[in-house]
Amino acid sequence: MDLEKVNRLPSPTWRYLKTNDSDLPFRNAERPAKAVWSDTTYMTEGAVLPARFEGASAAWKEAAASGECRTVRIPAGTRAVLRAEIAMDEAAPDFAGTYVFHVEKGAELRLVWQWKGGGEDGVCAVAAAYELEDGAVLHVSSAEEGLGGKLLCMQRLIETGEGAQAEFVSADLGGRTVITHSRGYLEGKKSTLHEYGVYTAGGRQHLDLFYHIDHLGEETDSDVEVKGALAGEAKKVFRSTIDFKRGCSGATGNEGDYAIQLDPKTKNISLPLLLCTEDNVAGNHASSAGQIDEQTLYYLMSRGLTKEEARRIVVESLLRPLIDRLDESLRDGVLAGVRSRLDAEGGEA
Amino acid sequence: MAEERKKSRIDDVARSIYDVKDAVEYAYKTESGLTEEIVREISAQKEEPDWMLEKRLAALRLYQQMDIAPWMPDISELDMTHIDTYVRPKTDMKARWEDLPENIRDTFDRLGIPEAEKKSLAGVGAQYDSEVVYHNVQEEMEKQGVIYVDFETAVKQYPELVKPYFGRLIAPNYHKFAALHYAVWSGGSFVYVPKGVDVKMPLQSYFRLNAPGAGQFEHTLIIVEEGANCHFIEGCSAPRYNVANLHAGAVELFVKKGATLRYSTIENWSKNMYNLNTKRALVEEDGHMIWVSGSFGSHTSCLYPDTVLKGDRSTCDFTGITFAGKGQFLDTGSKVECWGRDTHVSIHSKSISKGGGAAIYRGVVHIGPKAAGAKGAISCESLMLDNESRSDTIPDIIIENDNIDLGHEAKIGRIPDEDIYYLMSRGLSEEEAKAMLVRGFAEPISKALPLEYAVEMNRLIDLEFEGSIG
Amino acid sequence: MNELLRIENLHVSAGGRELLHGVDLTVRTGEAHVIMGVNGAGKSTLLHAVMGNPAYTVTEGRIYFNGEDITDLSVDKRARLGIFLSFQSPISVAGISVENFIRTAKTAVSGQQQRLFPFKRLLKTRMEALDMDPSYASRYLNEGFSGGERKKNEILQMRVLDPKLAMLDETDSGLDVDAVRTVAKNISEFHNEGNALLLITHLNQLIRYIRPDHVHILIGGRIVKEGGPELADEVEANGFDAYRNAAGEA
Repeated sequence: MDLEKVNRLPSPTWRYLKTNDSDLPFRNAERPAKAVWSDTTYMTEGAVLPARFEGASAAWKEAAASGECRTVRIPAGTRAVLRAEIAMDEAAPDFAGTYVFHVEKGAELRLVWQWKGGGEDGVCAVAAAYELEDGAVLHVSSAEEGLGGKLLCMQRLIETGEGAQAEFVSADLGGRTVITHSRGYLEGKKSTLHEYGVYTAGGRQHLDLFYHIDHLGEETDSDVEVKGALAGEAKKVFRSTIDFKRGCSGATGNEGDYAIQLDPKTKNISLPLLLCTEDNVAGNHASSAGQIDEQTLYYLMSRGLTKEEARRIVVESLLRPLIDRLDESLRDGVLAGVRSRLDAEGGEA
Repeated sequence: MAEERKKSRIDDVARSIYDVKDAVEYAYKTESGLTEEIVREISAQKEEPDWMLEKRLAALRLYQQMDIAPWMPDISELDMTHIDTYVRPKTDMKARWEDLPENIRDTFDRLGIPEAEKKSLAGVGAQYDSEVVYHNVQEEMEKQGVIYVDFETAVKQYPELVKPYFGRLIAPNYHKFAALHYAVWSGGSFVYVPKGVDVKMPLQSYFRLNAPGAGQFEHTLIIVEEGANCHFIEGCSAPRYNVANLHAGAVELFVKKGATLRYSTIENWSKNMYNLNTKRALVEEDGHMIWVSGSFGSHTSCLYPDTVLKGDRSTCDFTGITFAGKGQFLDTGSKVECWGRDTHVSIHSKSISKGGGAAIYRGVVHIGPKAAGAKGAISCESLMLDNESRSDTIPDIIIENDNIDLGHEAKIGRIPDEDIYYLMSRGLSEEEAKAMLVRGFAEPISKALPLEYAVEMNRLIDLEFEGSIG
Repeated sequence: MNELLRIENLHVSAGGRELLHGVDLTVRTGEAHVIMGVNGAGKSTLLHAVMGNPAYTVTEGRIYFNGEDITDLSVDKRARLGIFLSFQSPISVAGISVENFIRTAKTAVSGQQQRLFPFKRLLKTRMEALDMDPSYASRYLNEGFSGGERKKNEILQMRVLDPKLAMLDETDSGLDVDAVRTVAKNISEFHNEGNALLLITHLNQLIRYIRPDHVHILIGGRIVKEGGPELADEVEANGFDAYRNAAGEA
């Protein structure tokens, strides 16, 4: 498979560290599965991504364009719930799709992506633009099961009007290689963008998570929070940039990256950038990395839990607050997935 | 505020002292620009052994091949063909202060070096332009076997100590300006602290640039043997010139088993200086490396002291402050590589941006696959004093091992209005209130510096606020 | 007695809301005034408006100090004229010691350089009077101080800066019984014929100590009742209900 440079850091640093971008496998979706939509009332054929949509890389953006292209327009003042179920199987192990979701003034969209597979190889390339007009509200949940062998690339761009609120919650449990690329433009005054991600990765999984949010409007608020557990020889790269542009007076932005490393050969790379040309802002970053605290394990085991049970409880308690933000229909599945992953990985830590 | 005002006036005078140019006659001056001939000339002038000339020529070839890192701040105004790489004052090595030419002594007087002497500080290595012109190590330290000499002397007198260490930690291919350094290095300090020796008083070195268009490429090499202890202070100030100036020194520090080295820097280069300095420390088992770094001056700085924690249980403690004012682009930070087991890293960085200045924190903590038991805490705080300025935090954390405990925090923001209001309600003007809050912000650094440097740092902060409105 | 502070028809807004709707108040040198009222009545707003907090905007009315119109004066200039406010929640500043801060402030408000050792002695005396451990002088300003310690630190500043008008915003809250007595004693020692007090308090213990000349009841951004010390007793017995109705608020 070809290697492709993805998720380039907007403000690069030393080259020899090789963390400015990632060289990851790439291929096109050759035998794509079909997406099943719960409701097509607001949907039309074709999708024109905004000119500034860059995606994880040009090739990945193109790969996503090779599949179904749809535009969803939620009319002003409407509340809509949309579900997309994408089942990839041996006959159609791939998927590609490009979407534009336009949420008009004061409208609300609750969108649920559900990805399914049978553990076979495959590639899944998605590009989505979310355009929120003034006062629009968007909540997007995404979860998967059985994507074990796949190469995933989820790319999105978010634009917000005045007072618009966007929240994304993703659970990444499978996928041989998972690329997430999120680019946000907080344009309207008092608009918000929250990005939450949970993951458990084992084996030789590679997670490449990219978030880049520009604060342009006054009193805008962003929150990027990623939590997960790494086992086996899994590798996670977190590249997050919050950029306070001049004029975004009163803006607040937070980014957090919390990882529990369960095995000696895990790799954990974190580049949490804060860029700033406006003084009246509050930008914060916090991260932690390491094993489960021994005293915590000791305490739980003194109450009769096995080491594995204790470990599971600690990881669950880290991930739970974010899992609870997922659409209710996905929560139990994700929780069960987390548990079985932890049991299967059985880290030797 | 009578007291504060008076202080500031003194500070103005103090600053003007730094900006006096002396009419110095130059004994020797290379042609502008950098060629192999120049490098050979430099080496011949120094009557160097062949191995050093070979190193210089190899570095020059590297310099000519290497590109400038794409992330670096803009240095296009820096034209190497107009930078004289080597300027040597018309004075030879002097052992006694009284023997120095009067105008040079006068400059040092105003920089406060005799003060330092009076306070019986351990030793002074003062660099005037590219060569060390004044050097004094107290007898007591000589008795302890401590060597503190200028680098040329070290190359000639202690080749068995210099040769195995020179260029070992900072290789010429580290980056383009490191290659340049090795091609044209001149002057600097060599410190050797024998096993078990505790050097009680800090060793101090003042650097100055005093020729229009002169670059400064001093090499500092410090070896602290097993169980020894040493504090080295590097202070920089330079007069203002119109021609772009370049500083590309190299500092190599070897901290042996159980040894401790504290390396303090307070930098106040003139505002046309390009400070592309390289510093790297190698720490063996149970060794401690402590950096205290204040960056105030220069037009552009790229400075990231790099610590390699090679030995088990070795530690690195970095405390840094960067104050970027009008026209300044200060890209500074810290690099730590953990190789040994049970290492400990602590990084506390603070920055202040004002009047259109840009302060960038750039750092990396790399915990290798064998560095089990590493613990670390990184904190970066950035203060924006207005909305013309820029403040970026670019940390990179690479962890290749699970048995670690690392926390990282970063904050960007401005001084809260409530804080300014509270101080003003006690009678302080807005500028005074801000200066006081910034001094408080910088306090962890000034606390770590010797008193006279702390005082100088606070004066620098006050100066930045003198006469500025809101 | 001299008229020290005169507030005329003061309207104050913050965050787009009007909080004071035309307050008149006069304080003469040598007097002690107490402002009482329910939470959110605008008591703190009034004191901050006199101090010049930029978070509050005077939309109408004037404030005079010693006959000078100070309505548009910056905060530090008001402090230098002799106005002091003990904050309800003072900020903490890491890196600045209590001693360094108060000495700088004393230099600012007195216009005279404070020599180190006489100042240290003055500070020590004032700290002893407040039962403050001398080690607090070298600690960072309010950093890690308990609520009570912060309040004492405010009174310490008042005593050292020696203002003409001391405004105390619930200085007694958060203090234990002994500390209230100590603070009250310090306030009454400070108060003399040459200065004036303007207090916000809920505690009659403090009022008994200070023996105010005037009590004002502020409800809904207006002064609804004024009287002598007996008014405080009445409020203690009956609460504010009667005045709330008077202000047209249920």
